[in-house]
Amino acid sequence: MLKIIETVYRAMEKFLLYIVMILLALMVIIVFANVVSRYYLQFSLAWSEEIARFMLVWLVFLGSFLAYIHDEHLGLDILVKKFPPTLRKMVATVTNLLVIFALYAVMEGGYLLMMANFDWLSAAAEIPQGYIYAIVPIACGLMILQTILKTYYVWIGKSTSSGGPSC
Amino acid sequence: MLITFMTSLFSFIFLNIPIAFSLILTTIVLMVYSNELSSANIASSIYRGIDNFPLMAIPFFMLAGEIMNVGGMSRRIVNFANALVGHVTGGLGYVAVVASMLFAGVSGSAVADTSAIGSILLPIMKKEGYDTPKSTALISASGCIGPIIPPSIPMIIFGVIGGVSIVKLFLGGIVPGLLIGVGLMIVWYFHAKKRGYSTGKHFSKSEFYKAFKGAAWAMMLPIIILGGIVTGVYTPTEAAVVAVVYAFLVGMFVYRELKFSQLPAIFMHASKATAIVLLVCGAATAAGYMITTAQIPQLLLKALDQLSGGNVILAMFWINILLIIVGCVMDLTPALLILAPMLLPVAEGYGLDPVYFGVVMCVNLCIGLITPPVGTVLYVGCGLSKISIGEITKPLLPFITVMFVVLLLITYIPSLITFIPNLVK
Repeated sequence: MLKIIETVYRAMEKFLLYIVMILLALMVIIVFANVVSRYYLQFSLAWSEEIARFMLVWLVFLGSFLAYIHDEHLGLDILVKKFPPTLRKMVATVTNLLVIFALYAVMEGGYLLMMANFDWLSAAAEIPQGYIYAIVPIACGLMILQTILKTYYVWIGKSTSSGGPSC
Repeated sequence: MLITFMTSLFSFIFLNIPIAFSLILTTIVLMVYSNELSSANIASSIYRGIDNFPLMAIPFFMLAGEIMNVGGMSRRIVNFANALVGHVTGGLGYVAVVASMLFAGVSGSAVADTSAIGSILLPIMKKEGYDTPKSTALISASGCIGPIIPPSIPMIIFGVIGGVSIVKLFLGGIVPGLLIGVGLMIVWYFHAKKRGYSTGKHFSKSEFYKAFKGAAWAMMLPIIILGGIVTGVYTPTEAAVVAVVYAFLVGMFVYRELKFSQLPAIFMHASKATAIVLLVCGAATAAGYMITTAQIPQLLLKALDQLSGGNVILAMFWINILLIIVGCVMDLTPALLILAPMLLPVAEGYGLDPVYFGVVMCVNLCIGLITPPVGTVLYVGCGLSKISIGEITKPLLPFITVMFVVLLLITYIPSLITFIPNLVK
């Protein structure tokens, strides 16, 4: 069972990495195209800034999930590192429950925003805002699942972290 | 309220809950406390904190730095710095500082600066018989100039959350960054003299010209970035995207060192790094909303007034002390995101210029990048030269002292910061 979940997760991670990569590349192209067209053609692409911002939102939420898989989010482990192993496991379980609670709040809020905004078109590109908000509950849901998996890993003694700080 | 906020935030953080989630939890606590819990409000303020065009400069500057690195620009910058200052006693130390300052003109991140310059120079310094912990300390300290000399990721963040002109903040960082660079070189001078380090290679006229020509493409970038922003041709975000395209074209077609196959990894890494920073930014926006409604800055101002008797000089002293303590244990970005919404209104209450205050805050928190126990840049430096944090602490002290001296100077001579930004409209 766990094996299947892990395989699915790994495949999804790889797929999403490509998605965020493409999003960032498109952001570069769109914003640069606007600079060029405004400077040389005296013609500003009204939708470019808006689309790029929406891509940024998607990139951040998907990227947050990706960074969460390997515990890359900024945090402070100087205190818990000094705890004995059993206490550390218990603390991790409690804090993971708190994280799930926080993520659930954001997921619910994001869902409400999404449902309320499908008829609301964005100013320039006229995209229904609900689709942009949709990434909030999706990413939070994925992170909740990830937290549950992490808690399980804590008790069987498997580490999820990889590289160190990144910015 | 202030107590509730502080205790809940710091207990969440010290229990190793990722800072973004700690901020969301604190927001929830404050909402429950003031009886206005609404999940839609939390989600929409997080969303608002991310959906922001100026913040897009962050992934772009990250990309530009990394593409420069892989595309061979960093190596040429180091080579040119070597031609400039390498031929004196302990020359490679000055090369490190000068190269870091040049690289800082394109990159806005201390980690990028340190790893780019360190990975090239540390092996050479070791081979030349330089003291490894001392060299690592120097490279880490000069890496901290990265976010002080424009462009600067922390200053973008400060500008966005404080509603302060990013261009002015950028310009305000120029003098402090140069001062730190000069200070580090002075400290290195005495160290190199004492140790009697070898003199570096002397470049002949034609070699110097060759090094300059190689680096010229790279050195155009700071001019393109800053020039374009100051003259108003484009915004900082657009300048960042121009830098990405420029670094890509030069790496691909001029230096021919960048390969298409290297791009996916660069983009994936930059996306993740961006997500990490901006998730904290979104969460801090949600917390900031509660900080404002709970009137925490006013409470803080009152507490500070009692401590300093309403004296600005003393107030800035206490603010700096607070920032140093927080900077020791917390990363630059989250510390900035948490403290800026609380402290900026306080500074404005004292009638201080927000540009001045933002630069002081960024410089102060940059010192935190190389102070143990938590110093991101320190980890990078130590990782590169494979030494422990314990070994590097003592050699770092004189460099940290230099940075404190500069911090003191800019805190009490504000015109050092505000002179250049006041030249532009």
